[in-house]
Amino acid sequence: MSDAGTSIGGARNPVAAGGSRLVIDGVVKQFGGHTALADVSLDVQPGEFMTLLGPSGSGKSTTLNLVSGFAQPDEGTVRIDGVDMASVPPRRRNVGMVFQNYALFPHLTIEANIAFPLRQRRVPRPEQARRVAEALGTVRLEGYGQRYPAQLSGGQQQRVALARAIVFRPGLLLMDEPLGALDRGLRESMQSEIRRIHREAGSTVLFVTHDQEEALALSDRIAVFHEGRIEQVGTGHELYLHPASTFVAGFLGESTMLPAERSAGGAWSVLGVRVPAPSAVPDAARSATVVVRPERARLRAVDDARQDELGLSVQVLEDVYLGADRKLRVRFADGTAGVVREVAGSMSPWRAGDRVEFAWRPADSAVLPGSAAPAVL
Amino acid sequence: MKGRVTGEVTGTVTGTVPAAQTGGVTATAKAKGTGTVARHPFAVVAAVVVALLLVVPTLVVVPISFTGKASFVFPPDSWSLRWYGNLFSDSRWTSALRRSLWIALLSSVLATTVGTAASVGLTRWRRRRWAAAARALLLVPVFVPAIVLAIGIYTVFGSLGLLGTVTGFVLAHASLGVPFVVISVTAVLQSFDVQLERAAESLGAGRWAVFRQITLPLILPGVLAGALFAFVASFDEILVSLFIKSPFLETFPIRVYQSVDNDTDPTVAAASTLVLVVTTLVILVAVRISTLRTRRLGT
Amino acid sequence: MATTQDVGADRRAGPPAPAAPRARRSRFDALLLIPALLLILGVVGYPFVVSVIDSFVKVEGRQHAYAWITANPVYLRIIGRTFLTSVVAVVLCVLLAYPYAYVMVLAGRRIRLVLTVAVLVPFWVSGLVRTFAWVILLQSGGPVDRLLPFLGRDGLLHTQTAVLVGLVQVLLPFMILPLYNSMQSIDRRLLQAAESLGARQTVAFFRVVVPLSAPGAGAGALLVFVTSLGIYVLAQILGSPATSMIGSVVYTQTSQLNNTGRAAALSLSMLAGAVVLIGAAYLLFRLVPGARRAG
Ligand SMILES: Nc1ncnc2c1ncn2[C@@H]1O[C@H](COP(=O)(O)OP(=O)(O)OP(=O)(O)O)[C@@H](O)[C@H]1O
Ligand SMILES: [Mg+2]
Repeated sequence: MSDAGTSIGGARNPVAAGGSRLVIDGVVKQFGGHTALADVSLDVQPGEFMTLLGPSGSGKSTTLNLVSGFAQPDEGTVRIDGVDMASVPPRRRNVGMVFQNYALFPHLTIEANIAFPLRQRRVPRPEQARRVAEALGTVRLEGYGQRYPAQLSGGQQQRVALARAIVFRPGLLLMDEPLGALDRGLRESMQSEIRRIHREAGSTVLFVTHDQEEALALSDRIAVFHEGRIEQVGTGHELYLHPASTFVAGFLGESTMLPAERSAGGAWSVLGVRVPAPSAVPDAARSATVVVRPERARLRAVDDARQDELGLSVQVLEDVYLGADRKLRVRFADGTAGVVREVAGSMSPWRAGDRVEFAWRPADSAVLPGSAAPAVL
Repeated sequence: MKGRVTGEVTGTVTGTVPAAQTGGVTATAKAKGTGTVARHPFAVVAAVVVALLLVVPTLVVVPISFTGKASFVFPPDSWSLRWYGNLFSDSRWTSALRRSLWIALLSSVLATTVGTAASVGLTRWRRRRWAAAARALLLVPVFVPAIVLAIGIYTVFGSLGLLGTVTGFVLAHASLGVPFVVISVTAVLQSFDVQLERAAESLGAGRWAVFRQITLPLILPGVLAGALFAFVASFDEILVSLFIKSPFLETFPIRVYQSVDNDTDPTVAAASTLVLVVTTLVILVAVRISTLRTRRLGT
Repeated sequence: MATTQDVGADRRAGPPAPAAPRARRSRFDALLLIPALLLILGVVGYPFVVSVIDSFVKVEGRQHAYAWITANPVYLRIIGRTFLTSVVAVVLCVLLAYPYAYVMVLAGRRIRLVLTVAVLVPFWVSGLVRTFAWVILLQSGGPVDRLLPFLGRDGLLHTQTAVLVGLVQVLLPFMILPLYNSMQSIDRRLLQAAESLGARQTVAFFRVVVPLSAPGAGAGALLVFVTSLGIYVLAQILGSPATSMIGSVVYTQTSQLNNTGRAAALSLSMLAGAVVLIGAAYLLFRLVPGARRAG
């Protein structure tokens, strides 16, 4: 997106023309006595697509509000392109924002809605018209400019909101569950639209969702929120394969979580089976959790032990055939639930009721400090 | 206790009048209820009687305004237009009419301005108790008998030299109009989506731009309804006006009152008919406009 | 079960909580109230305080105002009559407004529109004009006199009945509108449920509609009552000295005799009475079990 208009109403900082760098540093936010954010830090690179993922009430929106300037942190700083935002009001932050319910101005036409930020920046009329047309093109709504928001479908309104947030070329784009109100099909097509627009506009994106698939599909990196803290930041791949906590492991994708204990002698065991001492666990810890992703585990006959595998006896509770793959739910001796996925072509013969062994290679599992809330059937 | 009553009263009045005024009634009434009504014959008869009682008696001023005789005999046995001629040529009538329109306009503008600002303040003020108290204070003129207000206003205006002045009338009428503005504007503000203001602000609009371009256009029906109320409240006001008038400054209602009280001059019927017609037209236009607008905004 | 969380399911209901606006902003918002408060305090509040003080301090005709009132029982009688008239007006308004509002709620689109306009037009048309219309109707030899000659020897004009008729007609919209509003918000299915459970329509009306619409009725009653207490012009035009209400006395004392202390004392006595009466009515209302649930 290189054109003459970049300087007009574009980012304050020429460096940020493509995307701003956002640094959130040690931010604390309380409401009354309730801590909404306890020490959140996040470094978002220019042009990066960062998703905030977490359960309801974990502080995602609060973080976004601190960045947009609608709330002030009690402690810590928010910096955009190196500038401390503490005394910068929302309208001077040059941050585009897409609201969950779109917040389109119902009394303005689509064109006027999109032109709104340009008008505030006193962009000359012809330039406004040109950029509005361009933005309408970007979101594929040519020809809808004269309508009112009430005359558009939900997905179209969503795209207008997007166009309005990017038309002034903000260095940073904030989206708070922008697809939350759309049905599944529309959501998926909007996801690819957002990906494309992000690619074309090149701005930094901070995106909130609590849909893990959406997070995985869109993001460069994901920050997982839990009770006002960031549990882990990383690419989807990293989070899935190397979760830093049982919370992250549980939140992203399915997994089997097995309790590991250390005996007085210092040896670790899972449900009575000795396992190698985990490296990621503090020396003093007495318990840990072994996380095995379903596609990394296999079910084998009791006498089919292999050298490099660990095995625990389980009972198959149900097998669910899903076409390309099959999911087997199992139960361990202590009642802990487990899950195994097999892809077509290498499906085992086991059926519900069979007594078999749940096996995995230690290298394919993650061992995390602390015990997971037991998933007992 | 007074506070609670006030709350309930205003809450109820609030929803009613603007909603009815802005065509909410026509927009929402989709249900086919005729069958249900038919099962309540007593209520239907009573409603018809009440409707007639509300509308018909007032209409007698129309034929009287065309009477040929200088009397209120109904129905008239001869007809003429001379009372209208009288109305528009007698300077006591014309100047009172002009004055009233002018005073109503000024006090409506004043009441609407301060009332709208106050309503925005009331809905935003984070100290809800203080806001509730301030609101109750602003609504006092509706909940205190007019006669009680009139005597105090008379005394104070007398000592300030405001009796019989346009300023005095405008101040008094505007404060009587403020509650109507506050009630109808806070009603629309309640359903106003604050998110829109944040959106505007995040898009680069300053506080004033947000108000001018987003908030005001969206609460305009309430503001206009309030302004109309305030205008009519002033144009109709008689009690306080009687206390603060002077022989040199009389309003239209005072002229009507004195005419009704003192002589049988059908000019007052012509004046009344004029008021009747103009008011009805204004309401119909207002309802029409708001219906169109409601349709466009899809609310 | 495996530990996948159905994230969609644990969403809190409702929109995300808005973040707190900055304190600076809130203080600015409070400033917006200042002009209106100044106006009301200056034109209503301060004069009210002045008349309270006047009523206690001023000596007119060598008498303190309240002493003068107690020495002249006629004024207490007039206050009493004012209250009585207003209470009767409220009762009549309630009786007429209930069926009207009820039909408004139940009616189809067209009928409702007609009924709405029928209540809105008088609501907006000058009360003075409507009062004048009653002069024409009720005068001696007027239409009402001719149709119903047995009602009064010399027409109904300048009688207590005329005052009441005028009051009720002028104030009825103030009763109907709040009542309609509160009835409208009653779930229609509630009525159907009541009727389908075997309740006859009248029973459904009194058991369901009346208690649930009580707040609206209370609001309307308060408006009618307070407005009625303060009338002067209507009583002057439709009534006679024998039916005079407090407004007339206050007006005479003020603008003809310039006894503002006495006028203030009279109107404040009435106001005090009104507050007591409204308070009592409110408590009574609270004690009615059905009404409490509705409130
Ligand atoms: N204005 C506020 N006043 C009081 N508490 C608040 C406010 N805003 C947020 N909170 C609290 O702060 C916590 C974090 O809220 P936040 O809105 O950031 O959650 P979230 O992660 O966005 O959740 P969701 O997915 O439901 O939107 C919650 O416990 C919430 O109740
Ligand atoms: Mg949120």
